[in-house]
Amino acid sequence: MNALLCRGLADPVHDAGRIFRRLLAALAQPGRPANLLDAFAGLEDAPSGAARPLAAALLALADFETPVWLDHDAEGLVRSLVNFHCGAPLVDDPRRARFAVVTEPDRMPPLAAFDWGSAEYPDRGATLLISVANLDGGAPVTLTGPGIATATTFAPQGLPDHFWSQRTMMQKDFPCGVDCFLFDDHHVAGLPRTTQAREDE
Amino acid sequence: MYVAVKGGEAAILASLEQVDAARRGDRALAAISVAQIREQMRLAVARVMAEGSLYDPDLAALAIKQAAGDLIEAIFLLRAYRTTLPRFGTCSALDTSDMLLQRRISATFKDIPGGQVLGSTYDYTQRLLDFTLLAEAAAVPALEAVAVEPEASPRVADFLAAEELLARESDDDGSPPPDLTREPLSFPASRAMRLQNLARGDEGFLLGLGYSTQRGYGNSHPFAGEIRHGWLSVEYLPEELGFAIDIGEIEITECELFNQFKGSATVPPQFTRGYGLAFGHAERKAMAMALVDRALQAEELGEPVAAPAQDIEFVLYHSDNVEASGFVQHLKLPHYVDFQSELELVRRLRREYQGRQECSGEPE
Amino acid sequence: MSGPAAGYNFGYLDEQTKRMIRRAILKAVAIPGYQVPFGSREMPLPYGWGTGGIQVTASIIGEDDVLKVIDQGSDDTTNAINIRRFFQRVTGVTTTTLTGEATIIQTRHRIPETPLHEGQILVYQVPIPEPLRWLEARESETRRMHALAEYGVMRVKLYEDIARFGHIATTYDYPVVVNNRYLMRPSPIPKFDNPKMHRNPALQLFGAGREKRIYAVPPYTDVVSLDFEDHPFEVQRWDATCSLCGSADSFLDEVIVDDAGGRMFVCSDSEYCQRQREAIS
Repeated sequence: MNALLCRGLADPVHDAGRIFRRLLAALAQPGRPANLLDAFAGLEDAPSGAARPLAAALLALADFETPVWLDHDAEGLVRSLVNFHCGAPLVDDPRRARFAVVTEPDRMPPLAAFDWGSAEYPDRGATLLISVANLDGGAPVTLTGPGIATATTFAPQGLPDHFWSQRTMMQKDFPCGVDCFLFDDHHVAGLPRTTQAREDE
Repeated sequence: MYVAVKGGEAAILASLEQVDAARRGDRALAAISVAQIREQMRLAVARVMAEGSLYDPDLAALAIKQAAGDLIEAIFLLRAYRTTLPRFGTCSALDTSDMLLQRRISATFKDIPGGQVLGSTYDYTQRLLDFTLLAEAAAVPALEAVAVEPEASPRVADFLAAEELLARESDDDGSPPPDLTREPLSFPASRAMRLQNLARGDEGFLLGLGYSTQRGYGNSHPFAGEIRHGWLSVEYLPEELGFAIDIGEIEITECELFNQFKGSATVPPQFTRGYGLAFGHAERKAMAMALVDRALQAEELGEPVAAPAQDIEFVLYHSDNVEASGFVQHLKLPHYVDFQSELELVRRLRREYQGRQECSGEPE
Repeated sequence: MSGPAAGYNFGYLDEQTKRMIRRAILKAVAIPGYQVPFGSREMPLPYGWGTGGIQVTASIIGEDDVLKVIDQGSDDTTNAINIRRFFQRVTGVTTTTLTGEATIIQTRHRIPETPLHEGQILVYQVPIPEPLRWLEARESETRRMHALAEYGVMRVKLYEDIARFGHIATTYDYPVVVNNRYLMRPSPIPKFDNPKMHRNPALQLFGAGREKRIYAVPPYTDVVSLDFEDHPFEVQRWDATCSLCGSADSFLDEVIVDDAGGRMFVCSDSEYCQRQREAIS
């Protein structure tokens, strides 16, 4: 069984469980950041900054069954972690990735570059793990949709402007699409494909 | 006066004790050992290993003992254990022409290279109860292994395939085979996935389906090209080592049935193949599997799909006895709530029905 | 509280299996009402007895969780006891019968009467996840119908009920539309419970082990029971009240008390009934 454990985490079983629960809470309540740093005891070979909670999420979710795509910066940050600890295959073509790691959101490929799944199997759409400068203090958007009681304001810093307009375009193809997790130094916020964002004036 | 149902936990614990007691039976008799089951009930062990998808005669025998001889329960026990085992990799494809044969027959050719080997079979036992077995001491001759050298017995199918008289199996594109115990069935189901499903499938279910194809529900005309039973080495190729290592021997039964095929626009007339493979000595299972495998190729071969055995979704979704047994028996669980809902509905429908009868003035 | 069973991983499932199920759960949450296929494992409990719910619970549960298990609304039915016993053995977590105290509630056939709150997770055991299965047996066909949101056959089926009986004759497992997109089977809960699914603050997860599907309703998500303008959806009502606690608004089980046609009605939710009685006395 040890060979299959998610190594890298100090307590592979319970750390991974706690990290997952924070991710689940984040996705079930979009735009409401959950603390991820206090979900695990330690992280071997981990980068610092916003890539640290992102790396923890990757460890909790990725393995040999999930091809991972890394952007240029992430190559340096989490490559060894993905290779060694997750055993996940790395792919060059973003379309083949189940998880895509974006550490330079300014230069991220268009959302259409990733797998959106099919109308029959929309679950095959990719999950994007994006690190941003901060999950608060940026230009606010108003989020509505499943998981949100009425509406919530979300103001991440460091996302390119076209991110929101691309998501709006993507939503015309629902149920196809990608789901995103956004990370800063401490927190994670979920942005499932169902969440509607209205850019505030 | 109604008392809310309590004490369920005590009832469960008491039931578990009764299971143990009933399994043990008369304590004046010696308890049966796992080794005795393994050695003297080898065909039961084979079935539990095959449908439990785990080659381990000792654990299969243990499961049979624990299940008091209920083979489907034993299969369930073995599978529930198997699911917790780590996966190290996939072995190299078995080449059954390398088998150390215990038995090998062909119904298509009178003689074949390597010969026909009758071996151990119940086929010609005449089924008279052997009352000498009642006396424990009856002497039984020890079996002398009548193994045929592997290189002397190539597979019958290979002769026909060499002449293009039998369809070649060309599914193998080198990609790793699917693993039904780790990924759900999806459609269209590849032949590899179908065969895997059938290999785990319930012998009785496949037997009935295979039989139905012989009686006109599927219109097949099979010939028993070859049935072989014996031992075969399993090899594993660790990537870091670069060469295959022998990880042990398993006992298997293989069946290849040849079916007539009149050809289609793209395929010339030739025989097609139904394939069956099972752990241990399990000819009935391997043959039934081969019949059903061939029937499931109907769509690919452009044949009409009309019979139950040709219906891929129907067969694959209902072949698993652990799934079937669980769902059939879940009806034992309480359904008070759903039944209450239906009760209320049926009463209402009856009231409305009677109301209509009275209005129309016709006596019921 | 005892530690988890020796020789088995926390929660019984190995970590790779948990990751696979967790990934499926996340996709289920992202696409409310859509059935995500997953590599359901063979569990040590029989198929049809809650293996889907058990796998979901085993994949989400942590040491700090408080687990409640109900079957038919009751903590005391043998199957509920057995599943609770299983999780005690393989996780050692605290269990409870109190709806308000539980962080995870695994259920078969009921939603508790006590309203759920944010942060709670309700895990349903699902026998047949496909709402269109009785109308179309083929998976390949129903998958296409979901892709196109082609749900006319279900409306026709319900309308045929109305034409024949004057009302819809489905009393449990009553079909719903989630987030205005996917037709979903709520598992065999009585339609009495359907309105509780609508915009519930708790996360609702559904696991079908034998059929190898997971689906979800995130918090505050629209769950609408199918109906027609002239035949609006309505729930069961009883003329009686609970004989034990007097409740007039909970789901009642009918109990036969003698062989002369004597009946009484009691709450199906045993914990709710208990608390009502305590409140009275």
